[in-house]
Amino acid sequence: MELGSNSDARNGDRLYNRIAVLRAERGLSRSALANALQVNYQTIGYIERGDFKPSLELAFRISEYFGLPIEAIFSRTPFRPLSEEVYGNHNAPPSGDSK
Amino acid sequence: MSNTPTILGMSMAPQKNRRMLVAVTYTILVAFIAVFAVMPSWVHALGPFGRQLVVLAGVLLFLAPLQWLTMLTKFTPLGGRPTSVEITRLGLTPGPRDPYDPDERELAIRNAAYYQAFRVIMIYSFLLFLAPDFLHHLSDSTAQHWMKALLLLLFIIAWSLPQAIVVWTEPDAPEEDRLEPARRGNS
Repeated sequence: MELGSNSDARNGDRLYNRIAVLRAERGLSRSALANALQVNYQTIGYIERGDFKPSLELAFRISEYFGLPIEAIFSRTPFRPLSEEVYGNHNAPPSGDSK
Repeated sequence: MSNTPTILGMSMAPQKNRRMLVAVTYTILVAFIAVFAVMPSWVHALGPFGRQLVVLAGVLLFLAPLQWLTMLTKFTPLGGRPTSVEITRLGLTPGPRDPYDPDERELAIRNAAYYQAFRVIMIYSFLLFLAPDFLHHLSDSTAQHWMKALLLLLFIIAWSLPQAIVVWTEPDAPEEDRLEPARRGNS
């Protein structure tokens, strides 16, 4: 079914998110998160896969639930891995080599 | 689809089974309506009130599996319950979610299905307007039966097509989603 959000995703206008990572960090199942957010557990799966864009209201509920700013969870560009953001990329060649 | 029901022992989780249900439902309904349009002697013998009663009972009976399936998978008609946004505006805390309340993704799917059905109904209504021109060679009573049958089909389409579209188009749940309910106890 051609939903606005789904067709957007197919057209490359995708909304990336870190819900799966945040869920894994906290040992949360989709059902537990879905119950907390009062949505169907499958909706969490659709959002995680980028098949459905949540409303602003649901995005804020997710943000409040994880206690993180909304831009830490959703982005219009792909996220760098969290580990890389925290520790940096140690395997990356020194900046002098790349020139 | 969560809470997947079975009909005559057949699981409605796989898309092909749901599509088969839609195809069988509409085939039976069209055949049922055609019988009343052709008006064989046994139908004529029912009398006008009896015919209306049988038609209504038949439509309700044959649409029941579709209705039941869509009700169970939360694609219920818009209810009077306030959404959580409205509750928030009132400064109240939303209560526990009713499992039969559609969430925003399910509402989006349902609204898209209603929009698609509306377009079909619009085209069918125009064809209905043209129908008398193709029925003029029939006797008055036969043409009247056919017009009644076509109008009944319009009613059935308006009623059931959004549900049929949802049942037909909803893809098979990914493996990870199918496994999720089994993990609920561990959450």
